[in-house]
Amino acid sequence: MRVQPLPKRLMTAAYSASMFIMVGYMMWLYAMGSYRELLIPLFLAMLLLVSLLMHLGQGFRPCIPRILLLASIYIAVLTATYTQPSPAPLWLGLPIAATFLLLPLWSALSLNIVCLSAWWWLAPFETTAFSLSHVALTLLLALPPWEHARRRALLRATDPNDSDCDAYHIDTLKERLNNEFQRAAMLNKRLAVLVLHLPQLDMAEEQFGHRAQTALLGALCSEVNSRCRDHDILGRAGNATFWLVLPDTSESGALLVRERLQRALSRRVLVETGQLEARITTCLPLRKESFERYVQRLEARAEAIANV
Amino acid sequence: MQSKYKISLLRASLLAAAVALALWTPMAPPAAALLLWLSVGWLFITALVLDFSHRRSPGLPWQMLAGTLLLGLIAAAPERHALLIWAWGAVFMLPQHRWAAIFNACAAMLSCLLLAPVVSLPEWLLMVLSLATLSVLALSRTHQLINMNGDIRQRLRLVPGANLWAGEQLLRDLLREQTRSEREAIHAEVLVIQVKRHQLWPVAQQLCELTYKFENVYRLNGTTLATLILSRTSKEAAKRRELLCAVLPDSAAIYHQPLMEIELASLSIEALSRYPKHRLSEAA
Repeated sequence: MRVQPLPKRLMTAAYSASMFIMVGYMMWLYAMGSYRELLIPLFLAMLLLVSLLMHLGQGFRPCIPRILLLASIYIAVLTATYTQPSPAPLWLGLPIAATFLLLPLWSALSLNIVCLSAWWWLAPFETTAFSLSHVALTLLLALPPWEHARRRALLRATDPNDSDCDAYHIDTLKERLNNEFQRAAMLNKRLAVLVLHLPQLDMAEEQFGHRAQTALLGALCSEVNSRCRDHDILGRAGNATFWLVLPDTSESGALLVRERLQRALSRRVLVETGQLEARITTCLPLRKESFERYVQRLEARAEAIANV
Repeated sequence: MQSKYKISLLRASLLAAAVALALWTPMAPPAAALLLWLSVGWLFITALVLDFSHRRSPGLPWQMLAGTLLLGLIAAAPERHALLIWAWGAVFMLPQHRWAAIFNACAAMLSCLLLAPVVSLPEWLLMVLSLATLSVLALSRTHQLINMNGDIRQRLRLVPGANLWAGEQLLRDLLREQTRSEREAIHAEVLVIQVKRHQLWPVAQQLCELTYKFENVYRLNGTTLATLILSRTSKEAAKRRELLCAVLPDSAAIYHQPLMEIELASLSIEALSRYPKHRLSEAA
């Protein structure tokens, strides 16, 4: 059997532990002789077993067992609060914490706000200090998900690659192109850029969905990356447009690369879209041209080959 | 901008939590009030020093501080702050070092023991088990985040928009630049600069401004920076190096070596960052 990744294994442990806790609770109620309250924990234990199996099984969306687990926690705590003679106020914190752990941040926040206002309305504990402690707990529990969101945003802002394929995204691409432009001027070298356009991309998305599009992009990037030098820069300039920056390359060299790429790409056949089709053209900086002007010219060239 | 928006929401949320804790202080026993105010202060300071870069993320074990404060809050008034036991779930949701996690786990156990007199035994057992399950859930969520980071972290820039990169990137760039400078017949050299810890970020910024855009700056560790200098001839490189050295602080130890002479196969970031020290001891 394939070894599962660590988060998944931890989740499995959590699901089974919660099921065993529920079974233990049920047995304790049985030993205490409170048969009338036995029914709900029995039902919840079955529910948790179902969610554990759904988590282990394939083909279920991962949010469904999470929601089942969360719902059973809510039901267990609510029934215990109403049926036990002297419930500890402590237990009302459990659903709040579980919500933040099991749901995405925004839905967890709104669910907790709804629950808090509902509790205020019909709570058995009505002192302000108590509700204040709930608000404080909710806000404290919301902090780590915010921190996660910050880190995710930071990674996105500092990751140079495009999210769909193994090429630089537009900001990094322009920056690297600017670097190469400056370098060529400073060190007196040549520079060439190939503009690539994938005419099948939009059609692939419309007809076969996102997966076909990703396959197309992946095929292009792997072909280009495997056939280029280490310091050539491939970046995604538009939805279906790529720029391949070739430092220290003359016009004839760029034309040669173009021929080679064209041949290699046309040999690549994909399941859904068939033969990989690409339009490629070269665009070299002119003498004494500014960088902005050159980028404009590159964009115009991309537009031109897209509308052939 | 999307990213700025994220950080201001986090800051607002930290401040809101601080305000909620501050409102909770009246009628608290003195020890509990003191700890509440300490926590308020910590949340407040965290909100103030928050920034949108990778500068602070590794190193400082501030997660242990959060755990200590939480343990203190529960210990100061077990009955009053019993609800906060569930906040351990939040502590375990923070990405942290292994030993910080172990410390926090011990602190969580201790606070459970402190709560034992407040609730009945079966309830206490149930609470400990539920808390353990919650912590496992939280760990699973943290690991998802860490897995996602792992491969991106190696290729990233440290501050959005600045030309400052992680040390791992230097090893890759050295390899590439070595073949490239040979093919283009230019002179390339690597400059390793060691500064005092508190000077690192100002010097890094200075270096970014003084070098060309195509010569990246790298942070090797807490005190060491590196940059690549590309010039047409070695004479021009020497002139540029002198200009750079004149601007850097006097206490900085600087080491340079042409790229061609570096043996890349056995090179590591640690070895590179030790270069300036070696040279100083040779000179002495």
